[in-house]
Amino acid sequence: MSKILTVPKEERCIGCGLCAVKSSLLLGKTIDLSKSFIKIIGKPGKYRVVIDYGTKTDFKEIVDVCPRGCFLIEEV
Amino acid sequence: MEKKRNILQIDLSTKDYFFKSFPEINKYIGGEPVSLFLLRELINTEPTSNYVSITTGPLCGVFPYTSKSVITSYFKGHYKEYVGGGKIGSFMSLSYLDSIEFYNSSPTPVYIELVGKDIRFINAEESFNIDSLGLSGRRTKIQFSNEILSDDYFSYGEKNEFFPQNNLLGLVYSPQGEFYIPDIDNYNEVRRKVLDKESELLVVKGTSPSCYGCPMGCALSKNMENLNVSVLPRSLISCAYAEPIYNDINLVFSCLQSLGFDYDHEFLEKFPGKIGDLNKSIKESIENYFKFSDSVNIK
Repeated sequence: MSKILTVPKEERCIGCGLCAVKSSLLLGKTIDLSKSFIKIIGKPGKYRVVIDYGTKTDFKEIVDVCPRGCFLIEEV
Repeated sequence: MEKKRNILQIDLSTKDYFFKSFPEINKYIGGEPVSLFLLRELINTEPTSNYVSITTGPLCGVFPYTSKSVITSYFKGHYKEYVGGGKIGSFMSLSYLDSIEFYNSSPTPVYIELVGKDIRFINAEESFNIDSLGLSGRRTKIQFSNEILSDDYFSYGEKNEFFPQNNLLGLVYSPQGEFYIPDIDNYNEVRRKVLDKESELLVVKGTSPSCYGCPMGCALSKNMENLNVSVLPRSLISCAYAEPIYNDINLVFSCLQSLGFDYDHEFLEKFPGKIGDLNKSIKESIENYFKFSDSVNIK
């Protein structure tokens, strides 16, 4: 069994981008949104959360940083 | 380590543009004071120019409740500031771009796409979809119609009669590059201190779209900002509802230090007086120029 980050409550997203910033910081000492494994796309009120599964994603820090509780770490 | 401070100057009439390292703005921290400093530079050299600038603050996108930006317009000797939220202030800050200045007027209506340091001017008369510009997941836009609006949601207010008719209809911006944090542990600790002050905010948590880097989702994020805010929060450029938090010089000092800014307490304590001097100096320059100019040739 492996663990991955999922976003079961995407509809709650307010587009604050804290997950994108945190995902960049988890990889080093810089904020570089091009390297974030999470991207927020769409418009205010209709945000979508895109996760790049090409890298490790099961960081509890991402679940914790989201003020709306959008994320979950699931076993697959 | 001296922080990078950069501005982008765009001449709408010639489509020339320059990225300039501009360490002089260090003494004005960011936000409204920097925008006024840049405006004074303009008035002292080209007092008849059409001018619009977008300016961010040093904590935008990095600390919560500091996600705003200030748009300053100047036309026919009148200037006005508009403050609002969304993503653009944070995206600029994360790319070390303190201010974008637009000079003069485009001969035709134009949109600008800015991806990192690559600029494209798009003729508004051609058929295109503004939402196709920029990079996916890193895109923000500002449109200058009767109302200045970011991402179709965050308002900077209605343009007044002295907003220059420069044919700039909008800007789509995507940041590129790395924002370096010298001491991650210290940064996380200071950031936690700011988050712990949530009860001092003048808004409550909600489910509305949020400004970038702000966890609140408050219902007021879409509104233009109140301009009557203390100098220090306005230089950062924090949310007006976070004024009680960012009026705390000790906390601001810690935030700036954690990002490598070398401001000291004494500087921060004396700083508000400088802004009054800037405003006075701008008004004097405008009055002097227009008093001695028989006819003003607006470009």
